[in-house]
Parts: sequence; C-alpha cells; structure tokens
Amino acid sequence: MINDSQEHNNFRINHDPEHAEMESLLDLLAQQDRDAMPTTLESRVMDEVSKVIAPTPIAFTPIDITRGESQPWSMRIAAAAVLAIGTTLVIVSAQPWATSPASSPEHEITVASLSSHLDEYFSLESVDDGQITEAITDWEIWAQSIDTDLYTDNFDYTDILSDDGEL
Amino acid sequence: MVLSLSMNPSTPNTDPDDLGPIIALAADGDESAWEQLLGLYSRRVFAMARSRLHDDELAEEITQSVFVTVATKLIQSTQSTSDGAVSASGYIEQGRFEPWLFRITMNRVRDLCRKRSRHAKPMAPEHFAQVEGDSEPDVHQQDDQQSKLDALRKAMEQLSESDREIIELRHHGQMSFKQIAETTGDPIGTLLARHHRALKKLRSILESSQPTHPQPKVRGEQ
Repeated sequence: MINDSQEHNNFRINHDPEHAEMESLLDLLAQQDRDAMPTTLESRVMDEVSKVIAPTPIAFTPIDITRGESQPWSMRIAAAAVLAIGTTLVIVSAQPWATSPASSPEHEITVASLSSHLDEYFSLESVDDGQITEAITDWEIWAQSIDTDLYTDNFDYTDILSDDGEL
Repeated sequence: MVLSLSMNPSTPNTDPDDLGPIIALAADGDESAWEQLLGLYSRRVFAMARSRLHDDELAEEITQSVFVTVATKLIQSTQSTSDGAVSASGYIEQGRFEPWLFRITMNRVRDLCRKRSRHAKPMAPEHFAQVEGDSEPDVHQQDDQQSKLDALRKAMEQLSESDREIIELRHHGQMSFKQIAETTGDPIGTLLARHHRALKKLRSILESSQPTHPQPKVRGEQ
C-alpha cells in the first residue's frame, strides 16, 4: 500500500493479502516507470517553463545612424517637394493682396445701405401720384452715378448720404 | 524565502500547507519554486504518461507540455488577481494543486490515446519489449519478478479506461483516494470499489495467463 492507509481506515476492502501483493507489484511497476525518466528531462522542462515565467524583455533596437543613408533618394525628393509647396502656400495666403476687395467689411456695409435705399424707392413708386416722378428720375441719375463710382478706389463709401445721396 | 520541502521525487502526498508557499512563489515566477515542483512531480507525471503510451518520447513530450500549461495558467492567474492569490481558471485554490496537475496530465494522455486509436496501428511487439523494464534480452529479463512485472504491464492493457486510470493515478501518480476523488470528481467509495475491481481483474488476468505469456494486445482495442 503506498500511502493513505491511515487516511482511509474506514475502507479496508483493499487490504486483502492477495490484493496487497498485486498492489506491491503495481508499485514496483510504477517505480520502474518513474525511474525511466531521463535525467535531462527535468532541466529541459525547466527551460521551457522559464520561457513562460520569465518576463518578456522589451525589444530594443539601437538606432542605426548609417541607416539614413540607405533611404531612397525618391523619398527625400518627395519630402522636399511637399515641404516647398506647403511653405509657398503659407506665404501666399499671408499676403494682403490675396484678400478679395468684394469681401471686405466696408463693401458689405455699403451694399446693405444701397439695398435699403432701393427698398425706399420701390415703396415710393408704389404710391406714386405723379408728383414725385421728377424726383425719381433725379434719384435714378444719382443711383447710376453711385453705381459707376462704386468700383473706383477714390469713392468714399461711408459718406454716401451726407454728400448728395438725399432724394 | 527558505523552502524546506523535501526534494525526494518519491515523496508522495505532499502536505498542501507546505505546497501553498511554493505554489505562490511559482506563480510569481520564482525559478527555485519551479525546480522544487518539477522535482516533486515530473517523475510522477512522466510515469503516468509512459505507463499508458508505452513510449518514452511521447511521455517526455506530455510531461513538458503539462508543466508548460501549468506555468502558463499559474502566471495568468496571478496576473488576473490584484492581491497575488491564485484563483483564476485552472488552479482554483491552494491545496488542490495535485488534483489539478494530474487532471491536466490525464486529459493529455487521453487526448493522445484517442488520436492514436483513430489510426488504429497495431502495437509492435518490440515496442512492448522496450517498455518492459527497459529490458534487453539479458539477465534482468530472466528475473522472476521482472517477468511478473512484464506480465502485469500487459494485463493492464486489458483493463477498461476508467479502471486503468485509477490504477495509474493511485500507483504511478502516488495519489491518495481523496486526491483521486478531487481529480476525477467521483465519490471515494466509488473509487475504492473501482480500484478493488481493477485489482481483482488484474489478478484474474495474470492467473489465467500464467502458463504462457499473453500476446501483446493490439492498440485500439482498449
């Protein structure tokens, strides 16, 4: 009997003498199998286990300074071209002449003012009793002059009403 | 930490209280703890595999894969718990290491046996001769006791898988019935009865085969 005779005192069924002989034979057989293990196996298993339990080292590759020289020239040229185009676009967009005059805030204010005058004109026209036709004609002449002057650099957009903009 | 557990590979039934600190250290990746575990269990695992497979190389492979699996699961379980207690898949709690280890071994052996049985190759007589006491045709084979052992090994081939498993867990694995019950999940009474029946059957086979040695059994007829 190998081991737990004390542990299993309540179970005596295996203590038959004939079975005891069989058990001792089985113990011998098992011992033979245990002894057949190659002496090197334990260290080989340990090697495999060590691979599992050892923390995986962080792969560190030293920077190879000479590696840059092996980069293809086409990559360098492409990178230089991208850099040059980008720089050019930044410089061009930063110039004052790159901004359209039509989109300046002053122009936007002027156009809004003219629009309000046109609204007034149309409201007057709707109630025309024949007496203001002359005034309208004068206004049209004035409006044409404004249209002409609108695209000249010397026109003072902010003074449109104080000069001769009155109806 | 000083570990005082005996390194004698034939030491059966290691006290789980002694084993606990070693398992904990092994789970933390301590190499000396692993050396102790291998010293305690590698021969028993190897013997179980060898007894069933009759092949030293396969038994070595199984021994290796069992311990790599155990190491992997122990390390994983430690990583998955914050307090370092081993409680994840596989080895659930301290004190149950042996049943867990031998259950892995048993499953590996079973899987390999099933794979081999699908191919159903007849076992070559010289293969049996290789396992029988590492015997060459020399004086050892003439020994009466060795002849009995050879006959016993052949008789074990005629046992059912469950009967054979309990014999191998008990004698090759050097496990107590309690540990076998934890390994297989069967009640101790059932295991005792099965062990008794297996011994009786072995004796019967040996008695019937005494006049002439039995022919090697064809693999796949187990």
